[in-house]
Amino acid sequence: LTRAPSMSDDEAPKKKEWVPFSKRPEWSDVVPTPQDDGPNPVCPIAYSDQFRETMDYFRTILKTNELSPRALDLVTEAIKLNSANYTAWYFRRKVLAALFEKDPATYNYRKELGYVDGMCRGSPKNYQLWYHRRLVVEQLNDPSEEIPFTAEMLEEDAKNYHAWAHRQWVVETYKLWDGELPFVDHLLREDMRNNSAWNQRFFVISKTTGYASKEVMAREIECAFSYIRKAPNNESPWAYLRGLFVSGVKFSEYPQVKDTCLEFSGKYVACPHVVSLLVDIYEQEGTPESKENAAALCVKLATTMDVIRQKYWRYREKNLH
Amino acid sequence: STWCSLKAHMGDEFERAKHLRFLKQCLKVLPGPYASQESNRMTLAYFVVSSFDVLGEIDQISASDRAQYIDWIYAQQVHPDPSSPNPTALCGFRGTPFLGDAFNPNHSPDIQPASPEYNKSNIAMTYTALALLRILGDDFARINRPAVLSGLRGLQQPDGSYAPVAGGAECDMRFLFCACAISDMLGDWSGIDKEAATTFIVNSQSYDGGIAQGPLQEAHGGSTYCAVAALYLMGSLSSVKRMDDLVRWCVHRQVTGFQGRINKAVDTCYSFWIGAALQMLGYHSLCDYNAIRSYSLSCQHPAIGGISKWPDTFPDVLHTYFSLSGLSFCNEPGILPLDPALGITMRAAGDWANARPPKQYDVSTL
Repeated sequence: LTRAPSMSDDEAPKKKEWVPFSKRPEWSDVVPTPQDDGPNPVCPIAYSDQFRETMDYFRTILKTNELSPRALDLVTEAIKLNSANYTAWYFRRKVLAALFEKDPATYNYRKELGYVDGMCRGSPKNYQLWYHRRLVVEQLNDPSEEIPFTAEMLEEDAKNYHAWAHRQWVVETYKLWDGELPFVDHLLREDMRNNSAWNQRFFVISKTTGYASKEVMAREIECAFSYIRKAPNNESPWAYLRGLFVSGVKFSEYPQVKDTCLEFSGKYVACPHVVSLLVDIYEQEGTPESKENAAALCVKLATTMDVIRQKYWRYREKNLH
Repeated sequence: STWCSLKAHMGDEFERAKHLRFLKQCLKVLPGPYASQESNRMTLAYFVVSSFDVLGEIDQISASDRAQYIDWIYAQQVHPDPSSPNPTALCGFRGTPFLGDAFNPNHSPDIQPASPEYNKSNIAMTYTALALLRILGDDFARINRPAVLSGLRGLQQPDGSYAPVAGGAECDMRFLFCACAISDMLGDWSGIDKEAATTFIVNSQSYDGGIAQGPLQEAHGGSTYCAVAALYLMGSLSSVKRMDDLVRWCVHRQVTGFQGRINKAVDTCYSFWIGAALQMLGYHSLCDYNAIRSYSLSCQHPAIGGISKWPDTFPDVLHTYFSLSGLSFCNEPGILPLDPALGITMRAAGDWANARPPKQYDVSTL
């Protein structure tokens, strides 16, 4: 049989010896419900006994709609085995709602946040888990742990898409803008190739000061160039720099862009990004001479500097505006 | 060690026979670790069955197996619940019979759902169920179209995006794509507010030209595919504000194979996500698809077949499928042409898909 150990970042409870439900006295009143996969299912899965039995018991409490403490234990085990199961998460929230009412000292959103913390660390890329965390935070109406928590998750994996999406939601919902640009700066100092951090930079500024003012534009242009000087072949600051001009601002309004690119084209002679941006700048200038310059640079990119994209650069050469 | 492995199974030969063996085994049974994806079993089946089709080998699945697989798929259809205030809210297809329902492919009224409240469809399972049915040659006769479309309508959010299930879940570009693919395959767009959907997509184009899961998030190959395919199916590709930037972003994802984001590692599945996006936009010819092909082939497993995301790792059905699909855009011999928008072969998509292949940029003049 083929194994695919890289598939799952769910951990089956391995540390303690798993006790079958059929051997647990507290479950003796429950009749398990087997799955009916029909006579010839497509791609059946070779379930472990643990998986099969846990789900057999889970099916029963879903049928009876039992919203009890032991149901919470069972759905916790079911989630561990199949953490993408929307039904399990939905049922969990129903059980929690019932238990919060019955016994708020033992069951509350604060405790649930602790559970989610542990699960997130084990399964940092689980969509349902992050969504569940969002709901818990909303119910608590308390984002105070979210900034340090996402920072910690990003320490583990600085490009975790879920962590970034959650962080954007927290920052925007609770207006926690103040610390965000310093956080981006910190991440860029750690890894200037972290494109997620560059994206966050764009997000923060777009939603706070915006890019309309000359001061902000000049500052951000210089920020991009400062990182480019450290590693000219890093695509992220180039994408960011170009991104400053997509709203309709012209390169000619900020002559330092062309000047610096021309300077770089002498210094970083093998860097395709410099030449690529010069193509855009010349194309935008729109004179016959600038168009010739742009075309010549496209040829240079196609033939020597960015050969894997030669067909793209030939296409650009033929289609300059 | 990676270099030695690459030499040992040089990425020049497409190991067709080994992949077929791998796929046949997966069709019979998936190993235990896949249980963590039990709830998504419909998508796993789609990866495996569509792989057979992409290899031109759908006939390796016998007629009787095909009929029984079709039954299994229909047994996952969620039918209207007359006891509910909104009877079609949960309609569509499930991923798995994990709730314990009795096998009921023909919707016999004598069989009641095990747990009606929890018997929810999932939009990605509905999409892959329809795709599977089409691949296996079913005529959709047992689909309750009004119910599916009504359920679909209920999943669209005010901002135009889609949730995958009723009752609360994350909403992002993936499910908007699923909604469009479902509508296209059913030939009925009453489940989608196209304008709202298009607005969501347009708002999700990043400063760098790629498209993210939602507004102001990071551009990503998966969400870019979903967005482009959705617009393509809706007939509104021209709504993209910065098409040049989108094409540029896609083309710049090529390192050897494709990466999914700027400065991330290459991964074979992007040969489909980015490759198909470029195909729909009309510019796949601008890539170096020999390099894409080489990378994908270097990720074939020399012993067991299948294709992984990187060289020297175990293959999984998702990366196998998307690598094979990605090879379709590289004109690999023995791989059937793919409908990039639906993610199934042109053969499976049928006549109307053949009527809308994208206009490709003519590279003969370059």
